[in-house]
Amino acid sequence: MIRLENIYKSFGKKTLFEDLNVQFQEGKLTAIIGPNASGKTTLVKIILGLVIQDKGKVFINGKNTFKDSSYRKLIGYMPQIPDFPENLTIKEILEMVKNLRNENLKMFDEIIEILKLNNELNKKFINLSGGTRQKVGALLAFCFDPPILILDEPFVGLDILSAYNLKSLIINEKERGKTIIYISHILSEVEELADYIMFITYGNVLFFGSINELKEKTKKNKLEDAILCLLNS
Amino acid sequence: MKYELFDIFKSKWLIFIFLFYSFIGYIFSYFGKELTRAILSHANVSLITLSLFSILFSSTYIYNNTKFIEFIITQPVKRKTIFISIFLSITLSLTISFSIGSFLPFFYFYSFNFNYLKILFLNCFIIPLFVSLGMFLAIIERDKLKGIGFAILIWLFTCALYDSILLYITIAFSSYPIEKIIIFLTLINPLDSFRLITLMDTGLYEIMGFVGKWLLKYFSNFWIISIILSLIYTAFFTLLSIFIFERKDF
Repeated sequence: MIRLENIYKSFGKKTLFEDLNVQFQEGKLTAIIGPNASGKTTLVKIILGLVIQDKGKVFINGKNTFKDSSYRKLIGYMPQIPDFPENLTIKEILEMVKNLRNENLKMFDEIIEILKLNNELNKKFINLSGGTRQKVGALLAFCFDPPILILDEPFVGLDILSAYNLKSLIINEKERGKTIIYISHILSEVEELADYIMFITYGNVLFFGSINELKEKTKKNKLEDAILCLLNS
Repeated sequence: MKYELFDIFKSKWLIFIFLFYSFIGYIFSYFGKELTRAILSHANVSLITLSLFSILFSSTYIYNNTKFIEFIITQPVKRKTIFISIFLSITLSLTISFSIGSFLPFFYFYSFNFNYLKILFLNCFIIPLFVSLGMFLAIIERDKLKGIGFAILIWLFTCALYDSILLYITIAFSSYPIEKIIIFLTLINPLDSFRLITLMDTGLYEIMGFVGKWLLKYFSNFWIISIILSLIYTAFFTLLSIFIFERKDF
């Protein structure tokens, strides 16, 4: 379980989070949605330790993550734009992350097969297409079989088949009981995948609950309408 | 660190640096006709170019790999460890590239000789200092263009502007007893102090006039002081950078 307690974060004079309290349910997929610059990525970055909060605490499985890097072994992170040293091959990148995490590749064959990366493993990162780079990001997030997955717009740049396969993989991992946090702008995807929605605007959480709860609350049948209703309210 | 070294060693920069120092080493040895001249010319060019290559390579490496550094921070590794491994990888790869590139032509012309080995060894201390400066700039300034601009400005300052200011002070206050202050100010600039060592080591201290005589009299082991001084600067900028890096938002 991931819990953020009394989080404050400012960038210069601009305050983004003021006493933010959120709890992500274990074994559920929570989609974070919201307009541009609403704080989605910053929130995820606070969990990952990339952005350091001014005040407040982040707990992963009940343990405070402050000044601790070992908790990140529990997390598989797929960034929006994966970037690695350009002269390393995918195999070398995998080996490097394996050494950093000090653990074995548990789902390597399965993920390679799903993402169709067999023929790309010995290519340098600089020679990979945008879509293949995205697949490398997915491979690194999933292949260590971590209990928590954080995916930042995972389908951007993927072809139809790869996006379909990745979607199936995410559903499968959710069914295996993983806690998944997922940032997206595509509501049809969110409706298909998410158990919970966190709707955030400029650091304020306007809604946190299931899709049905949101529809009931806004008295709308379509998720898109419900979101627009939230925005206008 | 192993994989950062892999990546850097495959980069064209390192091959360029290796070829550059091999080439100038060969040219100076071939045309200089004697070891002292070759060492002096090579050291003079190295002091200026090595500091520039080190500060530019390190700052550019950080800017070009920001997303990768971000990814590494999301892994179970301490930020301090990440910073130190990047610093060591860049320093080590540049040092290897410079020293092998410079050693080969000298070895070809003069075989093993302590004189050039000592100067090459001393010049290597320029690398960690300017790598730490380059990394410091890349960490405090997000904008790549501004960061590289500052890097060039600092390089220009230590290489040329600093000496011009000293010259100006010397002329402006020539009627005052400022010798000791000038010597002190010369010594605290690492590039100047390494330049002095090279001149003293090759027996050309006479051309420095008063400073040369003074140094020879009081600092026979001046090169040790220069190394310690450059290590102090390196440690200062590295520790400061680690302090900022540990608190930086990505």
